[in-house]
Amino acid sequence: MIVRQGAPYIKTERNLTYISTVRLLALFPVIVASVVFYGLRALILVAFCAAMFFILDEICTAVRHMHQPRDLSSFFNGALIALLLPPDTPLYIAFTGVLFGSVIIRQLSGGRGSEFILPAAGGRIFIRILFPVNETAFAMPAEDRFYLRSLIFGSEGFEGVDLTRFHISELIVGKYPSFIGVSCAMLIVAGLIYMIWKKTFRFYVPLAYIVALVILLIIKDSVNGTSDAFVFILTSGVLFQVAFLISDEGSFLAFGPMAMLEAVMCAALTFLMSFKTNGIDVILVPYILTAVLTGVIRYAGTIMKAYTEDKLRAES
Amino acid sequence: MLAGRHVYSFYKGFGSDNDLDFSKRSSFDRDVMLERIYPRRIILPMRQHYGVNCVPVVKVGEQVTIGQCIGAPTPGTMAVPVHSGISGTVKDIKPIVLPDGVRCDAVFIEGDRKRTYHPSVRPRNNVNISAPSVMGIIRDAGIVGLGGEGIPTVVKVNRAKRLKVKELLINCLQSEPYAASDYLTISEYADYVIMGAVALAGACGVHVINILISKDHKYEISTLRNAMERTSTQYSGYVFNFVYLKQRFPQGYYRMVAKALYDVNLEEGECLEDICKAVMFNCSTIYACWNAIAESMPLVSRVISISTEDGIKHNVVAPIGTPVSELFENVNGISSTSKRIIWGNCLTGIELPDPDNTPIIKTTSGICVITRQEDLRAPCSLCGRCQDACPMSLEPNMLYSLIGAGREKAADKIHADRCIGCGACSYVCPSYLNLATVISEYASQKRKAVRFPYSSVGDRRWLDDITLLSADSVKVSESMKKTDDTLTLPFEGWENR
Repeated sequence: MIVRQGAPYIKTERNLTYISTVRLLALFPVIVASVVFYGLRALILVAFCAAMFFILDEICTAVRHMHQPRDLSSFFNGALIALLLPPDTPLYIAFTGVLFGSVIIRQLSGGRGSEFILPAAGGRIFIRILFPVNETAFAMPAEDRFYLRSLIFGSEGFEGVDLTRFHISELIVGKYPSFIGVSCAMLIVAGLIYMIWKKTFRFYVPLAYIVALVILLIIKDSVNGTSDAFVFILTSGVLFQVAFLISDEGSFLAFGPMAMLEAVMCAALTFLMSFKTNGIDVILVPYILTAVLTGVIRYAGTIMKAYTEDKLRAES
Repeated sequence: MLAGRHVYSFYKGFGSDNDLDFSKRSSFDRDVMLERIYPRRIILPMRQHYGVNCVPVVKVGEQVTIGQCIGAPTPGTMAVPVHSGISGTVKDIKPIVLPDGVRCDAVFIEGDRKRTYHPSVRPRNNVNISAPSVMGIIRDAGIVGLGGEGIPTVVKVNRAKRLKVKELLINCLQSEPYAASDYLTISEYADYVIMGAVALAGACGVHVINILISKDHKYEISTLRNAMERTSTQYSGYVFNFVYLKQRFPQGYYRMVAKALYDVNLEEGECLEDICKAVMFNCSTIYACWNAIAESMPLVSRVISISTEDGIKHNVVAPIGTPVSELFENVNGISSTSKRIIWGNCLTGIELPDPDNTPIIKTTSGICVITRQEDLRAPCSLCGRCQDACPMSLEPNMLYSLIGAGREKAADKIHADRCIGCGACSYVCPSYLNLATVISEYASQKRKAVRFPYSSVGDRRWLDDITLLSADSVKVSESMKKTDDTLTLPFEGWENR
């Protein structure tokens, strides 16, 4: 075999820039919906987080003298943090999450593309730990679109809501109090389909996740005599989790049976979380736990594969 | 039974989206025109095949003609002769280093623009020839695998005979972007491909000939069908089948063919002939064989695809040894300034440092001109696309990390040595990592050092066939003298074509 230096000389057009652009485009309708529901404060929060994430990323890259291809992942991660916040979150809290996600999670992992979890998820869980009271402040959508006071002073004590009083169509459209971007199931699914169509995400991974979760929820319903499975899927943010967190190729496997296994594992953890808590924990904790275990699964998978092949060869 | 409607392919990941089918992308469209070019000079390296060097048999200042033997193999070695593709004067004989690292003598010939043919180059009156004669002809014509492997065809035939293969496969599965040389050969010389296949089948002692081709190549399929109809009266006892495979890079590699057709994973050192009882020849090789049999024309020229990213594509028939710069001078629209010139195709080729003094050789099926891009790489994001693309089911991202970290034992454990250097992993990598370069280099070193040391006569794996070759050459020479090519009758009436 001749050793070829530098081949191949053409590369796929589906590079990191392409992938992050597709993901940002998939997120765009969700951002629009959040602005429609929560008005100017949602727009400012999303723009602020995206811009801050980008600026911090650029500063860190310059300080560390890293030469990397540019992509839109900074904007994606920044926007993602904002979309996972309650609508009345003040900017300083949002900035805390951005700072943690960009500087701690991304840079300590080795820079863009090397993160063990999505920086946005890390930043958001950091806010969850640091400002737990903020998690209960949910405003009603489409009420006061020009209310900006909360960006400085935070919420004025909105209460949690009873989701059973909303019609199913409102749950699908996302017209119920929730985090800024996780409520509109319709557009989240549209974004998911767009990513699958653009081949940045394989269809069987979200399918495995949804099927596993639905089966578990149906079992739970049949044991408890309830019928909450559909409402849970629509309102708990799991669709957002599968579309924008699990689709991250850096932290989750994107191809093959092992990717499906990871998705099923994440679904099982989400199901377990649904017993104890609601809100952001259901979206983030199963994702982070599974992502951390991913490395172990990958390593084990490789060893198992090599072992099985050796064994088969020895037998034949 | 392989023939039928079934479309074969090697397994490439669960739910794969087939990133490596370049045929459906307009940017990789192929040109259908074939031009012939006549260079002013040629450089003939004495090693253009898999094996050992030939020895120049001409002297500086000597006049040579088209088809004249310029370099001859040392008897008993794995080598085939080299012939001149132009007529002219030998200007120099000096060592050169080819881009793939091969060091050998090269004969520099300055053309006289007369295109004088050697007296031995003339249509053969009687092509009803025996199997040993066929082998003698293809050996003396210097024919090697034109698909890129470069194994002397006569050695391969020897091995097929020795291992008693049952079918002959015609490889029409060229799948690299821009590459079109095989398809042009089929389009222009389909009759030669069919008759060449019959000749080689006779030499190998098989009667079943399977044409491996993608269903997407409808024009080539119909051309071959027409050629089969036209030539069917000239042979008997041979069965042709079309076997359809998916258009997918690197489907034409022999291990992928073994996987796709026979569901066999060939290990390094194992061969199709032994394990699958089939012998495979590239369609261009088969054409060259019949050209040698019918026209007595040794392998002096070949079809080359010249392509650029800007959409300029040419297919030319060029004498072997034509310097790359001369190729560019003879086709319109190629500007190589500040661009990378690739010797070979853009997925598996090698970058040329000096196009003026680098010739095309027997195994060069294409030249690509690629824009030089800034080499910015991101860290591996562990997305797994390389695993999905790897035809050998390796884990390139993990191998890349392990080899980079010097953990060779761990890399060996996950079969780094199986890498075939196809470049699929590097092509699909969104982080633009040079996975293939690192892994294939490592794999190459491992294979050379551990398993198959090279001997003075060639690769040790082929020793039996080289020995057989030496023995056969005596028989062939004697039979040629005695009977003037009329021992058996695999063909009838070819002279009336």
